[in-house]
Amino acid sequence: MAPRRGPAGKSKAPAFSCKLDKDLGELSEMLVALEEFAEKHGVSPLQTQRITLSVDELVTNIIKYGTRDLEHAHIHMWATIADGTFHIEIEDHGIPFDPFHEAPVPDTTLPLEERPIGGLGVFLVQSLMTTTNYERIKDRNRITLTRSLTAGDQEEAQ
Amino acid sequence: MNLTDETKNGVLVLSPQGRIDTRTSSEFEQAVMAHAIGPEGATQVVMNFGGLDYINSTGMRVLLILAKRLAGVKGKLVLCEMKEHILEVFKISGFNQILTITDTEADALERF
Repeated sequence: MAPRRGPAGKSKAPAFSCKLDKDLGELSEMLVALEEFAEKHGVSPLQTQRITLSVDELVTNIIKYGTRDLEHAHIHMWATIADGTFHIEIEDHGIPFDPFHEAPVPDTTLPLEERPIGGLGVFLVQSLMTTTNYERIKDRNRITLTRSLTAGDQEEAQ
Repeated sequence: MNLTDETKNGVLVLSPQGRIDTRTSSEFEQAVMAHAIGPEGATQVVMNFGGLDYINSTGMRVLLILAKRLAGVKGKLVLCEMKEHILEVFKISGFNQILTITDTEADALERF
C-alpha cells in the first residue's frame, strides 16, 4: 500500500523521492521535478496538476508553520505509481499537526465581503486527492495521499 | 512569474505568465497592487490567465485581496482564459461564485 522508502528496492514501480529544507525555492524546483516525473509516466496533465498542488499546499504549510521554530525542516517526500494509483508520503519533524482534522474548514459559500483571506490549502488537498491520512510516528508527522489515476480525469467540481 | 499590463478601452488587463507559487506570490502581489491599487491605480481590471500554468492558494489569496479592494472602491475584477486545472480549483474554492470568470478576454472586456 504505502510507497517504498528511498531506493525503490525490488519494486519496478516508478518512484520519486527528495529531501527538502525550509526553502521555498527548493520547493518550487521539487514541484517542477514531480510534474516531470508524473508526466513521464503517463499521468494526465489534469491529474498531475492536482497532485502537484496538493504536495505544494502541504509542504508550504510545513515550511511556514510546522517547522517555523526549527533551524532545519528535514522534509522527506516519496512518490510512487502503482496499480493505477499515485501514492505520496510526506514526513517532517515539525510540531505535531494533523492538517486533515485540525485545520479549520473554510466556508466556500460566503460572499466576497465576508470571505476570510487564506485557509484554503488543506481544503483543496482533501478535495483533489482520493484519500488523505495523517499519523504521528515518534517525532515525525507523516502524511499519506493517494490519487486514483483511473477515475476522475474530468473536473471534480460542478 | 512575469506580469504584463496593457490598457484596453479604459480597462487594465494584467496577464501573469508562468507559475505563481509560495515563492513567487509576494512578487505577484506587489506587482498587482502597484498596478491596480494606489493613488493612480486602476479600478476596472481584467486578469488574463491564458499564460498562467500554475497557481496555489497563496496566489489565490492575492486575487481575493484584490477583488475585495476593488469592490470597496466600486471597481471590478474579471478573470479569463483559465486553464482547466486552474478553473477546477477555483470552482472547488467557490471563487467562481464570488469572482466573475469568462472564457475569453473579449468576453471579459464586455463585462465593463
